[in-house]
Amino acid sequence: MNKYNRRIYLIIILIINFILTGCWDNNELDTISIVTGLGIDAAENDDEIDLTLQVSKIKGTTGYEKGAVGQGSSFFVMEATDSGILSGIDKLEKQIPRSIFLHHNQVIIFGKEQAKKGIKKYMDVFIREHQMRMETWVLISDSTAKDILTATMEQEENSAIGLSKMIYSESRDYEVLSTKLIDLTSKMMEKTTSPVIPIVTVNSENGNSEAEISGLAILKEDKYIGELDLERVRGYSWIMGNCREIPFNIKTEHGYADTSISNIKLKNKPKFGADGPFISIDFKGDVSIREIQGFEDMKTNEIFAILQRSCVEQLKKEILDCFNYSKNLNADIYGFGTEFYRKYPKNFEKLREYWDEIYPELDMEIDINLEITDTGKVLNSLYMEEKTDENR
Amino acid sequence: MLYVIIIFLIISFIDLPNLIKKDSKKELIVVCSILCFGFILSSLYALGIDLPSPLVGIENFLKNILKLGYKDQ
Amino acid sequence: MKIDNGKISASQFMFAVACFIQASTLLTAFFISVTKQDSWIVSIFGFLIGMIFLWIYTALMKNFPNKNLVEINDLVFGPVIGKIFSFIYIYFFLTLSALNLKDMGDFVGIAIMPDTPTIVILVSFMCICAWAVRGGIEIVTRYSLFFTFTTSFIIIVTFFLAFNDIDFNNFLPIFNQPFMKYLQGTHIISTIPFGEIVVFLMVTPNIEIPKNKIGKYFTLGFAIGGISLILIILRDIAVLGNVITLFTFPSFETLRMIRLSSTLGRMEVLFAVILITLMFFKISFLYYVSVLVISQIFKLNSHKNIVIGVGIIIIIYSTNLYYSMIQHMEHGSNITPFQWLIYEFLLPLITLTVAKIRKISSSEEGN
Repeated sequence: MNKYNRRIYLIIILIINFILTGCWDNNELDTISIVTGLGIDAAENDDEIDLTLQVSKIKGTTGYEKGAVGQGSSFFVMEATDSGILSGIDKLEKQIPRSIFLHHNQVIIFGKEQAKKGIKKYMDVFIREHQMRMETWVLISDSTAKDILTATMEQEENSAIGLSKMIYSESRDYEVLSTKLIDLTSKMMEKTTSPVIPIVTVNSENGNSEAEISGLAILKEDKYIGELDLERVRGYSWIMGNCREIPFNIKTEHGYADTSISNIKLKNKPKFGADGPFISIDFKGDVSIREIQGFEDMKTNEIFAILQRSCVEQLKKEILDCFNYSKNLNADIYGFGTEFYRKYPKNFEKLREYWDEIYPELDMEIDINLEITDTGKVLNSLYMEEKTDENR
Repeated sequence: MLYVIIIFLIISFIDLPNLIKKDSKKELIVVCSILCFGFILSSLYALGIDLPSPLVGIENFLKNILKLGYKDQ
Repeated sequence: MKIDNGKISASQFMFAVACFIQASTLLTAFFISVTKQDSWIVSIFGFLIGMIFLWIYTALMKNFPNKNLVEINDLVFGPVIGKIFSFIYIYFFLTLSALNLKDMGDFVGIAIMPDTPTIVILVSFMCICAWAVRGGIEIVTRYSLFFTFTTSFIIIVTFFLAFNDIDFNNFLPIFNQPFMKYLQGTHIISTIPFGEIVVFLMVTPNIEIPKNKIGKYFTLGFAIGGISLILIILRDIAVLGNVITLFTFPSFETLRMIRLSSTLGRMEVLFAVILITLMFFKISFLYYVSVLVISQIFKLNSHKNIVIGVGIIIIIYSTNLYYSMIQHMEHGSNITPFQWLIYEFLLPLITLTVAKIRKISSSEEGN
């Protein structure tokens, strides 16, 4: 009796296994349309937005691998106008035969006009909806989001995936040029920080449009107020840390040198001084010389001494330039307010409401130590004086 | 609702004949009463009637009458 | 009298305790929203207070070896009041089972399978739990060792995988919040994950070692579970920073962020699988204990007959508990710790005190 019962149970279980495998929630590949990019632009109505979805076309149903979504050779773009993102998506779902699948969304792009009006309203859906992931890249487009999403790229079939790869590789050099949704949310939750978002521009030449990252947009309380071009981005990223190796060129009256600074150790300390709060920055880096032009008739030591001095001066200038620019805009893009809060919570509680007035008066003390550690294959360049036996 | 009745009939047919054969009255009463209680609850659920939750009741009692409870931020 | 004659070894018991506490990683949202970046401090304090609870339970176990909770109540308070106490425990264990079942149903329903009606998930899950419970205590705790090791392994691995995203500045500022918050946080942690081990008082007769050594295993299991929970909280705060207060399932979001290379991303599935497995263990254990209490009170011959009935009651009860997730979170952070304090701390303490006063202990009575 026991064995008989057991066999019946086994058969029942095997049958149930085949029937009950998540019927309601299956998402077959040919029933979903995979969204790779989402764009939000301002519509004529102040309450509404133009929603653009870039959907990837999948050719063939063989070999679906995670991450390799752009298997098909092209994509298409859908638009809708609505007052909310999800209702816009609902509208679009009625226009196509497949249901919309947001899990693979690579980028979220806000158009500049919409960024000027404010993006906080529309961010709630990205945090709340389960299909939207927190590591999606966020970008602001120089013109409209639709232009970026309709652009084609040379090497990539699908422009959103290409953008995401581009951001990923850029972020290895300049980590500030990438913003994930979670970082953006985190910065928006801090009351004193102005978030920065990379700006992407489309250049159309000869019919081919190429997208490129052209700077950082500064938001104050979710509204766009200004931008940093690529030069200032460098000044910004010196302080934000996380740089591996940044190229850096100097012009002095004697010549021109192309160097790169690596191995950066940065200490960023907020302090309270006699006049009020200030930031003290300790910067240590190693300079590698990549190219020297000019510097005729000078000895090696002199050249390197000049180079080191000019590097320090130039670096200071860049940092202060970007800092003053942010002070003019009254936007704490570095997160100094949060640093103060973290190190001196009691003192800062009183200051927090007045941060808007304190920030433009904030001072920065910079202490830079650079050492030339690498000069390539040779020590002397072609122009330099020949070393006689005395100098050796 | 029909499904509920069917399922309960199946369950009783699995369990009860053994108990009736063994003739232990106390067990029969307890098992039957628990099954009846479950039957009533699931019929109410199938019919869509919502019962008040005892947990919420006790917690409201603790919060309002005994004033135990942290204030919401 | 013992209803279930299964025997479990001491190490199975220890890993069962550890597994039980590790299953509560789903519940971290309750206190993280209260104490934010200081949650790890609060969890350490909660751990210490949990040790106090542990001491009470171990004292009860030592005083009354080979008697489970219902029998202890009967001995200490006499048949009538003892039964009243045991009825209160029925309500507590049933509520715990229903709450955990609801949590699991919500997690699967919201995060993984949004279209499936919740009752289908709950019923199919409970079918397996019912099967385990019918088998008795041996079956329920059989896999505790495996689950504990797998979970600990995953916790350590994800800790290293998330290393890239960890920012230790997220822990600052420390100790900056009003004192009440810390009190509230400690209270929540000591009752909701750590205090629920009172259920292990029901399985004392089945453990196969002399009862004066049981304290060691109980404490060790508690320590393993507690350390896992603290590690998880540390990792979540370090990775997510100030965004952590927004999420209903913080650990889930942490695992979503991990990305080793373009192929090894999307690890949250791992978390979901492990969580469902752990919840299976916890819910079947709570289910088993509820069934055991009922059969002990009514002195049934075997617990197997009422398993299905109790299962149905638990399922329907779990759909009935709270109107919405919001009410669940609100009550869970504010009032539930007080209610649980009654069942986990007050009642056992009263039992222990009365037993000491009346100088009752099982070794005099003979078994």
